[in-house]
Parts: sequence; C-alpha cells; structure tokens
Amino acid sequence: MKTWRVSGWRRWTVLALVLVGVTIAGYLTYVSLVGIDPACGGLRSDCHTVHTSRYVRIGGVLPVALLGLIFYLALLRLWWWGGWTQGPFAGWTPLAFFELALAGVLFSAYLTYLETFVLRAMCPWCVGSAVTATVICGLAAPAALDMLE
Amino acid sequence: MVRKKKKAKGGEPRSPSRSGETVVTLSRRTFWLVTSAVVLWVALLVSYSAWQGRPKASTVSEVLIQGKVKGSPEAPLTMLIFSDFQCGHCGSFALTTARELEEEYVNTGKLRMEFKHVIVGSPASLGAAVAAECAAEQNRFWDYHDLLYERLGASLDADHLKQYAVELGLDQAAFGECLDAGKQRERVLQNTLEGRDLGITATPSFLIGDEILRGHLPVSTFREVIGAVLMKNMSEIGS
Repeated sequence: MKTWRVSGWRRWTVLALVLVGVTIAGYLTYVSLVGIDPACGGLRSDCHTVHTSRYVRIGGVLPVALLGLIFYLALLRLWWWGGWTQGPFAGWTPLAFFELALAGVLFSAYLTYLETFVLRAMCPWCVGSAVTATVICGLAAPAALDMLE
Repeated sequence: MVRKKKKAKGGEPRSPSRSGETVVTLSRRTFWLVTSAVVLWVALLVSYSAWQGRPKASTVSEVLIQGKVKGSPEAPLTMLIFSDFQCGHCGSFALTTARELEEEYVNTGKLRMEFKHVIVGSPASLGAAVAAECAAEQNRFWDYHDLLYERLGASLDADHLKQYAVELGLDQAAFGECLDAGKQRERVLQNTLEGRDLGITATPSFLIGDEILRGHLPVSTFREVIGAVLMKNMSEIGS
C-alpha cells in the first residue's frame, strides 16, 4: 500500500523538505521586502544580479520569493490536511499535493533557465529551492499515481 | 491497511476505509486533465513573467544618453557600461578589462565609453552612485568611480563616501552638500530605468552598437564584438 498516510519514511521526508523550502523562501522573501542582498558567500555578486533583476517581482509587485513562500506553506497545509483530517476532500490530498509540487517544479525550471541563460548568474538559495521542490514532487508522485484506477 | 476501490468516473471521494482513511480513485483521463491544467497555468505565469521582462527598446538611439563619458565625442562607436558599485564583477571589469579597452580603443579615438548606473535593490549602491555623480559635478567622476571599485566591500555610508572625496581632493563643502541633499538621485534612478528598458537584467552589462553583452567577459570577447560592430558601421558608411 503506497498511500500518503502510511508510507512513513516518505511522508516525514517530505515534511522535512517542505520545512527546508519554507525556510529558504521565507529568508528570500525577507531580503526581498527589506531590499538587501541575500548572504551568498563567494557568490555575492551573482546573488545581487539575480535579486535585482527585472524578473524578481511578478507584475513588478509580487516578489517571486513570496510566491515561493506561499507555495511551500500551501504544501505544508496539504501535508497536514492529508495526514490528520477526515474531511470530504482529505482523500484528494495526494493528487493536490503532487500537482502543486509539479507546478513548483515547472516554475522553478523556468527560474533556473533565467539564471543560467538570461542573467548568467546563479543564486544558491534559488537552486536549493528548485532542488527541494523537485525532490518533493518526486516523493509525492507515487501516492498520486496510486489513486489511478 | 484495507482500501476499497470502486470504479468512479472522474474520481469520487469514498467513505473512510476500515483504517479510517478516506480513499479516492480517479481515471487516467481525469489525472491527465488536472495535470494539463496545472501545466497550462504555469505556462501562463511563465509567459507573463517573460513578457514583463522583455526589452522595451533595442538601440542606443532609443534611450537618453546622459551617462558619464570617456573618449572623443567623434568616436564612431559608443559602448554603454551598466554597472553597480557593489557588484564584484563590475569592479573586476572596471579595474582590468576596461583599462585595456581604454588604451586600445578609447585613446585611439575608435570608441567612446559611457557609464550608466544600474541600481535596483541596495540603498548603499544608490548612495555610492549619488556620490559618484556628486564627484562628476567637479569633473572627477572616473577618479571617484575607480576609488569605489578599488575599495569594493568597504562600507558605503555617508562618512566613508565623504572621506573618499577628501582623499581625491574634492571641494568637500560642495560634495557634502550634493550628497546630503541627494541632488543626483533622480539622475541615477533615470539611468537605471533606461537600462531596464533596454533589457539590462544583470550587472555588469554592456551595449555595443545594438549588441548586448552580459557579465565580466574576457577582453577578447569585447575585442571581437567591437571589431565586428566597427566593421559593420564602416561597410554601411561605404555603401
């Protein structure tokens, strides 16, 4: 049986990764709203490039980092919802979780493309978030596929 | 764990199983429909992001030229340098590659270099850029520019910026008044907006003719592009 509820190691690994994502996105949201560069060690210049680029706010208003934070908090909510509630939609959480994670992976892929080929500067925080979202999506996939007839 | 699967078109939530788990099954068609909707939604978001990030102008003539210039006004080619005083790659360019290009092209009358500020995120960068413009009021922009890059990583607070003016022998009263009043702030921000309209998304970036270069590239790349644009301009004049 591979459902969300009972696959213990996968479930707790996903929670740990979601919390990593919340931490990364929360930090990037903070620096974005305060208007400072993130701490990037030797890649300080690259981080400055990425975090002052024209792509850093959607519509010039919504910071991409805040969108990422909302994404990870939504995943956290679904994780909780799928684990400890018995509402009529609780059974849908594996699918909802996987689809949301997939959206995160696709958008992260776009952001990584921008960093690599347009901005030519890599922000390790952004790469970390992209990798985290990808692993979460991979771990969530079996539970969603298990819902298929 | 027990789970009862019943055929259900499109997917339906079932009653909790004996273990208390609510179980849902869905058809492959429904799964792919939902997945396609997610992909479509992300594609719309990406399209919007790419659209808002597009360049709004494509040639030098479409932007105001009000940066700081080095070289003859008669030079056949202008190279715009979009730079930030807190950017390490910008400093490396300014202190190495730019000096080679200056000797090779600017001093021989082939190229005119023009500096443009690109400030978006950091208030300290803005302060440094305003200070450089205040130095420009005393015709010492490039000296102040070089000093800022030589001291890259040092504090850019007002006291340090004024100390640099002292080191360069600038009129301290005039410099302090300019800096404290933020007189050149609008000019710096205008430079930044011009850069954005050209699609400048990173520092350092360069516009040579209609060619945009990004990052601190090897001097050979600059030579190649400058040579090609000069040749193109010559052939256009010839025809």
